[in-house]
Amino acid sequence: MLKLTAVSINHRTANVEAREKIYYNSEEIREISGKIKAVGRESLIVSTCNRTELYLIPSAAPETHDNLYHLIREGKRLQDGELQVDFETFEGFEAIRHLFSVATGADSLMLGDIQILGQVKESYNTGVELGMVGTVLHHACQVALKVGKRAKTETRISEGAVSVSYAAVELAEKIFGNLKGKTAMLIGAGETAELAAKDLKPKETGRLFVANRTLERAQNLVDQLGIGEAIPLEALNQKLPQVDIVISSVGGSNYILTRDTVASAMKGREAKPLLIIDIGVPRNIDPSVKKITSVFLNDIDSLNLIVQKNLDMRRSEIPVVRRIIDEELNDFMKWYNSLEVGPTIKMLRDKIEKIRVEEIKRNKNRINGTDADMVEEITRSIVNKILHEPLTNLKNVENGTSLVDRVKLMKSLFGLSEESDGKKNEED
Amino acid sequence: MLEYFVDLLKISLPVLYLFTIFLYGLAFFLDEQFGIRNRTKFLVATLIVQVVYLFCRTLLTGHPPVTSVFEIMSVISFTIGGAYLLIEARTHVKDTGMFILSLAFLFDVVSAAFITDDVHLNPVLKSSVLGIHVASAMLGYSALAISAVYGGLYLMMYHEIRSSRFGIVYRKLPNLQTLEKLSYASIILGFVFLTIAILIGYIWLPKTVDDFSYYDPKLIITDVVWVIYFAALLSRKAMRWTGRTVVIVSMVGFVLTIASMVIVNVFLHSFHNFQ
Repeated sequence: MLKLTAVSINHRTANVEAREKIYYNSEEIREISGKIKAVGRESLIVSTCNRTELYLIPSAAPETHDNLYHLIREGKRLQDGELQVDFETFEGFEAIRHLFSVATGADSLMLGDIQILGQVKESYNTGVELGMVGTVLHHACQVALKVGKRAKTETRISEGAVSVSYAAVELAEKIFGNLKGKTAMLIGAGETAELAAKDLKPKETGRLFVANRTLERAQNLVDQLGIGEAIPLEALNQKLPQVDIVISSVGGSNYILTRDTVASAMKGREAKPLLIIDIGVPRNIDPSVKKITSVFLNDIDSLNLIVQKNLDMRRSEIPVVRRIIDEELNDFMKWYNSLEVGPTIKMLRDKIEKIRVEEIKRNKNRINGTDADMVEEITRSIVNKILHEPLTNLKNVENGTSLVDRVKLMKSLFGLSEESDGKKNEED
Repeated sequence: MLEYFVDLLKISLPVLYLFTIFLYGLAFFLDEQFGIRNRTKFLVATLIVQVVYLFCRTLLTGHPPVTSVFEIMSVISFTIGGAYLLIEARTHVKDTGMFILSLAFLFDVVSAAFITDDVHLNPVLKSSVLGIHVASAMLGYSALAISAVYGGLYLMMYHEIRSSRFGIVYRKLPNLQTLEKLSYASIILGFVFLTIAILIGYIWLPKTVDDFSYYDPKLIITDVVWVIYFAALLSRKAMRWTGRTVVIVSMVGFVLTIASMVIVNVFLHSFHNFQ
């Protein structure tokens, strides 16, 4: 049985405030690594904004989950009573299953989060650098990264936008393809406009106009973003023909853009499509604008629908992701159990060899000096021939019984059971 | 023996196309891994079988399969499939395969149902110029057909976004810009090949065919189709048509092309018939 223990403080067990307090950066992992290594033969810390987890294979006596939880708290120098949160616990292969699940994003707050795979990789690299990760966790992390990649490529768990602001960007990409060089306009300089602008920025859009009733506020947002041009709301109609994407989120009961305004702007656009996203409530844009050819008008409900459909799709992929995890966990278990075979064979060979040598020694007086070599050779050959078949069968993966059962039987038949536990310690 | 083999291939091809479309459908609707991994492989296999079929058919009948509308349909089916494979390899857009290949299947199944093994050999068909003329025409019509399918997909996507449905069409089809580019590039290719076919025809046919006439209905209708596409391409440049207008022109052009082909071949007499 794999002697792995794990505790996880995550978005299900703790609120964001508690998770912030327990978050470890790589420097903090370095600081606590000494203490963890003192009790763990192998260990790994995975810490992100949504989880802090400690995986540990104990050096000697098994560590309790409470001990691991206290280790995590100790590293953050938290006083008694300062942070009391629940935590999830995992044992043996279930801990490995959990690590795999984390790597796929199936366990993330934002289902299918693609950043988590990079964060697991970073945690693994830190563990390797600090000498915390050994044979078992090294292999577990390698497989976890593979599972994460498989989930990303073989399923749709990470597909589609799951935030309103990113749904707006995705919608723009579905119309224009590449957004590079496209001109965007934000109407309103509030939080929603800021989020949308931040999501557009990595797409290398071209000019950005920020139109607002208060020019100063528009200028503030431009300064904050480091790109764009602040314009008064009155200049909106004049700039509209140059714009490909409009994101509007201002207050007020009157329409900021009417059908006539947009129709007039479209005349100057040579039938190039115009995407208008109206996030304002009440709506900022006259809904009849939608009837103008090549104008795509979508409101907050449209974006919410995109997000909802993408989330539904991601949820529907969870069984497929679980199947991938099961497949890889099965292979991992086979790999782990195969680690038992080598030392068992060695122990059995050593034991038989010891009997052989002792028997020759005991009968030394009855063997002529000239026959000694021949006896040595014959007894070796007998031992090898007797051991050949059982050892071959022990290693044979096609054999009907499980490797673990065969190793157990071998140890029990030849009285190797207690001695065999030394095997795992050799991995240190 | 060869006849049985050709018949076997003829019957197998629609089945192979159908299975390939099924795999593209599995990938499109269900993201099924079996479909995703094997769709292109099956398309390649289907096209190889189709090449063997067209080759064996040529051996059997003693002339290339371009003498009747149903033989031509078989060749067009192949060129659509082949052109799609090239587009897929170049753009890595695989989610439109189901639609384009359905068109190839349609041509192939009609061809398989009505094609006859006419072994009569018209001397005109011995000319080497014929190969270039026919290949250009087939590639031209196939490209126009593909352009029309991409145009149809563009309109599906256009309405999906405008009506805020965001279903499978929104999720799986390429963006509007890509669909428009694919449709437009296919029109250009189709137009170029059609021009080559018409030019060769006008230079070669008067010397080869005794009853050649510039007023032949097939020639007139082909010229009309060519003029429509030419005018559309000029208008696009002059009037800066984009998006929806371009794809609608492409689809109308293709419908006219197919209608004219059917009318001329079925209802009118033409010297341009070598059976």
